Amino acid sequence: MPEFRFDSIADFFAMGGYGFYVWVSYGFFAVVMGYNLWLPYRQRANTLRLLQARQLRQHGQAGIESDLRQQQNAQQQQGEAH
Amino acid sequence: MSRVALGLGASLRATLRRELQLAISSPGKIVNPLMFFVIASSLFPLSGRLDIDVLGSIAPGIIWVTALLAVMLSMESLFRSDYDDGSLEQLLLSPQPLYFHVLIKVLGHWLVTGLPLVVVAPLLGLLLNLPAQGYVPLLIGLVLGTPTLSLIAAIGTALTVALARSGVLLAVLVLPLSIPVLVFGAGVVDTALNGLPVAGVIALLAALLVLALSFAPLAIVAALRINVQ
Amino acid sequence: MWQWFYKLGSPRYFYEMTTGFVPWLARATFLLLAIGLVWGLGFAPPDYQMGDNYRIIYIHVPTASGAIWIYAMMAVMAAMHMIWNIKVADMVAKSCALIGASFCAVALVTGAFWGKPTWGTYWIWDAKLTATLILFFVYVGVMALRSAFDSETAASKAASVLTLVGVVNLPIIYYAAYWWNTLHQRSSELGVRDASANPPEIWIPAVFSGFGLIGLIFVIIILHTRNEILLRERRAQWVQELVKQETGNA
Repeated sequence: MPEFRFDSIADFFAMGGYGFYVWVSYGFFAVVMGYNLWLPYRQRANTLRLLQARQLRQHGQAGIESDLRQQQNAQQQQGEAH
Repeated sequence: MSRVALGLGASLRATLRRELQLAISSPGKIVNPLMFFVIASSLFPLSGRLDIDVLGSIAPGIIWVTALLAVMLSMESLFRSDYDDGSLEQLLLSPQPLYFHVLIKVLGHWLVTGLPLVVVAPLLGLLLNLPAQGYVPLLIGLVLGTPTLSLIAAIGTALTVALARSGVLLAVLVLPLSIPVLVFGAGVVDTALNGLPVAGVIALLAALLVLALSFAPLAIVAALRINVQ
Repeated sequence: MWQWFYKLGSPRYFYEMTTGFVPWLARATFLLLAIGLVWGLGFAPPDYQMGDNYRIIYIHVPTASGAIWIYAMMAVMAAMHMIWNIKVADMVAKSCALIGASFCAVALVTGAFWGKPTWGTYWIWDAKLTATLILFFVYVGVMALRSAFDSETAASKAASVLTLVGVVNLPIIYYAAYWWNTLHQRSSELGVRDASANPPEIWIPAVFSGFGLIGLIFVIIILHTRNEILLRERRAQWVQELVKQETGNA
């Protein structure tokens, strides 16, 4: 079983004198990967909001037009299935 | 069979003639890249107090980088006028094999823009204190390397032909892909200045040219088809 | 096998299959990364030459090789998009670009901070560093080209062509970088050690962080691709119903 290699937490952050290099590297890694994970979450929220707004607009237009669009959707879906 | 072949040959000759005529009718097309090449290269000695020997040792790099930029800038307009007046669309619809057509067009363009760079390069070598044993390798390298650069730049031009302002984007696309040519091109001169045999490096440059001649037209045609619909 | 492959090419199937899969992949990724990095940072023994500075390699090595593998995946997807016109393939390829560029950036920065105490300088024009930098430029070029088009179709096709041109070019760039180095006699300074010379206490955490980062690549690419599917398939019935469910308005 591996054991903790440093005597204290301060010792851990000092990294045997290399603390600056090690922590800047890991910090940069964390920031970049965090951004890469955060971005799709924000995009998902934005996309859903955008598509919801579209739907609300479409519902607002009553009558033949929306029926037509639904028909088109169905046809398009059929086309894609093939 | 023979009629098709004849048709192809005639059409390629016509393409080449058209490229050359266009260049002669607008001399700026030849002169501007050339002037860029000379001006940009002469900026380097003025940008710092460089030791004359240091200048001589970085001269191959300076000449190659500015040649690369000049070729790229001159290629920006390669398909532009054909795209604007609709003749590109006609070309893509025609039964002609586009591979050869595009190849001839790029090489025709190289004859009027790339070849003059090669001719002027010794003058720049003089200005930049290039040692005497570097001139022949520089010329051989440029003759083999600039067509490759033209072909790579033409891929970028074809990809961006439908975009209104493509200058900086073209540079971002083309420059990383041109690096091997730059490395081996400047490497030929460097090797010669170090007194080593250059045949191997020249062979590498030639190999890159053959590779570009075989594959770049495919990419150019694919890129043009995307932009013309 | 082929059946499954074809199905995965359908945006709807891809979306629905990954809905249940991603949370588990994300948990496994988090676990692997946590084990690998905590072990590597705190529990692995210090290196006998480089002391504690070597702990940077637990993120440096996997990101450096990951950057190349992401490009390979992007290229395969671009080829599938060009040859069979598979839409999902293009969406995956689009998702690869940013994470690939990020991996390059992390590899370069961690490499610099590893190099400063080890070689005495943040940057040298070593073949690997140069090639990674150029790979970063190529990723940036692919992203720039894609974003320059208004038409989604043209953007996809153009990015695919450029990605495939890059595939032909990248091995040449690597070779050129190595050749350039031998000409200038600089690689001898590095004295890179054989990795197998390290004891298992040092390389086992690297296995954890390596698999963790592979998981992270797939989590991020899948999440991006799912967004892309929703956006591009917005007219499809199933997406419209999904939006109603998710946003809670009928």
